[in-house]
Amino acid sequence: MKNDVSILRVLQSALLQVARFVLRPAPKAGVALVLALALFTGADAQELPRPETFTLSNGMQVVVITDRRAPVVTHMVWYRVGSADEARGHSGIAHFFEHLMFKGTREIPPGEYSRIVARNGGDDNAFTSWDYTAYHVRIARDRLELIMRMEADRMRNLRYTDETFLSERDVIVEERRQRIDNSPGAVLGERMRAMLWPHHPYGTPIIGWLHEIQSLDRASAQAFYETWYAPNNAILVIAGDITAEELRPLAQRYYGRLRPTRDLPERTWVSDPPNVGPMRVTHRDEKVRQPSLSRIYRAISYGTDEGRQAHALDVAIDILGGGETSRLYRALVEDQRIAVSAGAGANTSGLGGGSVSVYATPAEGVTLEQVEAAVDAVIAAYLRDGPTDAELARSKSSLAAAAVYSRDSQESLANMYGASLAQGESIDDIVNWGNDIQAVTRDEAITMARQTLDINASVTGWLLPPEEAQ
Amino acid sequence: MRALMLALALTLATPIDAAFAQRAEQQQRQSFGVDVERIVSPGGIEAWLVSDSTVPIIVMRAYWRGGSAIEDANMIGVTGVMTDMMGEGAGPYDANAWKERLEELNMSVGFSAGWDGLGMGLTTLSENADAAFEMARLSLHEPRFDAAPLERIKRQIMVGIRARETNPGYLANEALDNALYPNHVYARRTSREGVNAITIAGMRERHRALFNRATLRITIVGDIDAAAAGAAVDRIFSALPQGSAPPEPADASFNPPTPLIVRDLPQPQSLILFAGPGIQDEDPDWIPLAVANYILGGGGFSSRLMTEVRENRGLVYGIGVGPSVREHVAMIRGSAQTENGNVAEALEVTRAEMRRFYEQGATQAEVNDAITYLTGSFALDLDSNSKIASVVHGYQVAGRSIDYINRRNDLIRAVTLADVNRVIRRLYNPDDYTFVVVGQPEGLAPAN
Repeated sequence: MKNDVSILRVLQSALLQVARFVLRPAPKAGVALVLALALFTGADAQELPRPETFTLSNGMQVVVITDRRAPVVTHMVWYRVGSADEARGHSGIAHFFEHLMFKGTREIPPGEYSRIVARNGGDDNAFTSWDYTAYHVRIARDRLELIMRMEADRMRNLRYTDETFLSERDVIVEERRQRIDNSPGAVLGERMRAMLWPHHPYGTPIIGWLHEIQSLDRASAQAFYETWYAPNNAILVIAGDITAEELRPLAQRYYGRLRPTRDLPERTWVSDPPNVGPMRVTHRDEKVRQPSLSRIYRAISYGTDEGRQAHALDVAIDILGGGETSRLYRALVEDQRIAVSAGAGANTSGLGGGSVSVYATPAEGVTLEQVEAAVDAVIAAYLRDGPTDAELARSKSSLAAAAVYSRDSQESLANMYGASLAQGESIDDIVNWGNDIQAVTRDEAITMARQTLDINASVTGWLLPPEEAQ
Repeated sequence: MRALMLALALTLATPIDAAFAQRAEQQQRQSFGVDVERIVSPGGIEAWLVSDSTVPIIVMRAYWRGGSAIEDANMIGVTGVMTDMMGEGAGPYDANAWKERLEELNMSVGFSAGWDGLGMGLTTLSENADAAFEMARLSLHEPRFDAAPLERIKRQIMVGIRARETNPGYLANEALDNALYPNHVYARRTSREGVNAITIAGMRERHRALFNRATLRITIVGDIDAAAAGAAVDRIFSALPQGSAPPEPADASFNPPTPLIVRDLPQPQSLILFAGPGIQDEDPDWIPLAVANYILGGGGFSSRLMTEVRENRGLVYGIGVGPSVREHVAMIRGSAQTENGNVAEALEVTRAEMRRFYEQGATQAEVNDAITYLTGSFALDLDSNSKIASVVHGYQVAGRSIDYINRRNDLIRAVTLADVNRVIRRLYNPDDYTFVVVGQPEGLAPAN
C-alpha cells in the first residue's frame, strides 16, 4: 500500500501542514526528520547552508545547494503562481495546470514526461499551494541535463488535446473526492477557511470548488499558462551533487533561451473586510463517530510580518500546542483527562498572511462544550501569564534543532529554499532562521500570542454525527 | 485520434531518450557503494555499522522477533501498549519529565510493536550521544509503566476503536483478512474488552518475554566509530538476558478467492482493495516479482494500471499494487478509489488489465524499463543518513547478507523476460484475487 502516498500530485489542506513542516522545521519534528548533516563543518550549527544563487538574463532565478554525499540531484522549478492567483469563478485552475504539465509538448507526447523520467531511474511529481506551484524530479546526477531540457520545454511549449483535458478533469474530480468530499473533517476545514477569509483568495480551496472544477475550460487554462509559466516568474532550485559553476552553463543553455512574459501581472489579492466577531460552524455527517473541535485564527506570516514577529508567533504557538509537553496537551489530556488529543499549530508560511489552528478531541462521554471551555481557559491563562523561561528555552531549542535535522535531506533543503523564496523571503531570512528563533524574547512571544489569539478574528468548528445518532 | 498522435509523438520523442541511453548504460555499471561493517561489541553483541563522521548525528535502529501476533487472546493489544508505555517515563523521569528531557536533548527514542516484531529507533546529535544512549538504556530496561499514562493511552485507544467504524481502509482490510485467513491471528483486532483487560502486570510480562538477545538486530549509522558504537551497544543492550527466540504462530492458510465483497459506507467515493496469494522475500522469485509488479502497478505514473485506469479513462486519482509480506502470510495487494458510480467500470478495467498481463505477459521493453528504473532510483533511497539507516536495517532484519545493499542492483539487472513471465503466471491470475469495495457503489450485485 506504499503507492498511495507517492502518487499524489498536490499538497492540499492537511498535506499543507506537511509542507509547512518542511518549510519551517516544526517543533518536535526531530522524530520524523531523524538526521542532520555537517556538510558545512565550522558553520554555526543553527544555520542552514547558504546556497549559491544567480539570475539568468531572462529573469529566472537559480539556487544551488551542493550535497555531494550521493550521485543524485533534486531538480525543482517553482512558479510564483498558485491558487490565490486564480480569477474568480475559476477555482482549481492552478492545480489543474499542475496536472496538465504532464500532458505533453510538441517533443514529448502525453504522459511520456513521467515515463522518460522513470526510464532513467528518476522520480517526478508536482504540488500546488495558494502561493506557488512546483515541479520536482529526483534523479542520478548524470541525467540532469535530460530533465532540464524537458522541464524547460514544457514551461513554454505545452500541448494537449481536448480529450486529454477532459479526462484529466475527471481525474481531478476523483482527487477532490478522495481528499475532501470523502472526509467530513476536510469538508469542515474547507468551510472554516471560507469563513476566516470571506473575500481573500486564501478562503478558496486549492483544489477548487467541485462545480467550478467541472466547468473549467481550455481557453482560460491556456491564458493562465501563458501568463504565469515564464522564466521571469520561476525559480530553479537544484540540490545535490552539483555546484553553481557546473550548473550555470546548463541553466543558460536550457532555461536561458526561454522567452519571458512581458508585463508580468502584479500578484495583488483582494483583502477581507474587518472582523465582525467570533464565527462558528457545525458540520454533521453520518461518518462521524468521534466529535472534534477545531478553531482557526487569522495571523501574520513570514511574508507579511515585521522583524521577528513570525518567529515569535512560531515559538508562542509551539509552547501553547506543539506536542505532548505543550500547555493544551498537558491541561486537557494529562491533567483534566477530558480529551484524547489537543494541540495547536502556526501556519506562518503564507505570502499573504497566516493562521493559527487549535484542536481537541474529547474523551468518551465529554461534550464539545466542555472541551471548548477548557481550551478557552488554557488560552486565557497563557495570554495572561505568558510562557515560563523553561518553556521558552525548550521550544526555541527544539525549533532550531529541527532546522539542523532538516539538513540531512537535499530534498528537504530544496523544498525549504524554493517555498520560502516563492513566498517572499530572502536567502538570508532562511539561513538565519535558527538564530532568529533563538533570539525571540519572552515579551515578543507574549505580544504575538495576544495579538493573534483573538476570538474576534477566529472561526470555531464543531464536527458531529447526525443529531438523531447522538 | 489520440492513439495515432501518441504513436507519432513517440517517434519524435525518441531522440531525447536515446541521447541519454548510452550514459544510462554507463551509469548502471557504476555502483554507488555503502560501506556496511559488522561489529561485535566487547560484550559480544553484533551490530551493523555505517560510520560517517562528516555528519554530527547518530541514528540507531534495533529489532526483536516476536510481536502482537503472539500475545494472549485475552489481552489483545498489550504488546503495542507496552511499547508505547516505554515512551511514558523511565528511571527517575515520570512521563512529563521524560518528554521534557528528550526535548532538552533534541533527541528522540521510541519503541514500537508490529505483528511479528518490536522496533527501537534513536536519533541524536553526536555531541549529546552519551546522554542519549543513557535515555535509551533507561527506556529499554527501566520503563515505569505508571498507571496514569496507561489510563490515558486506553482512553485514546477507545476513541480510535470508535472512529475506525467508519474508516474505509480499516473496514476494507478487516473484510479482506476475514475472507482470506479468518482464523489466523493476523485477522484479530483490538476490542474494548481486550483494551480494558490490559494490566501493568501483563505489560511487564510481555516486556520480559520479548526483549532479549536471541533475535536482537542492531544498525547504527552516522557520526560514531566502531569502538564507540561497540561501547554504546553494550551500554544499551548488554543487560538483556540471552533468552531464546519467541514462539511463532502458524503460517496462515489462504482461503480461495471469494466473490466481490461490498461494505456499505455513506461517502461519495468508494475504496477498492484487492489481494491474492504472494511470496515471502526469501523466495527466489522475489526479485523478478519486483520487476513484474513495477510493470503492472508499482510506484510511478507509468504502470499499466495507472495508464489504463487513470490516464486513459480518468476513473481514479491513483491505483497501485504491490507485494505485502508478514512473517506468516504473503500477499499481493492493490487499491484504488473511484466515484460510487464508476466502481463497476473501474473493477472491470482493473481485472481486464490483470488478465491481459496474466495471459500475455510483459514485453522485453517493459522489463528493460523496469530494471532501469528500479536500479537507477536506488541511489535516491540512499542520499541521506536516515534513509541509509532504513534500508540497511531493513535488509538486516530480513536476514540478507551484509553486502546485499551493494549486490541488490546486480540481482535486478540479471532478471530476464522469462523470469518475469514466470512470476506473472505464478502470482497475477485475477481469478486468484479477492476484491472488496467500501462505499456505496452503484450497479454491483454483491454476493454476500
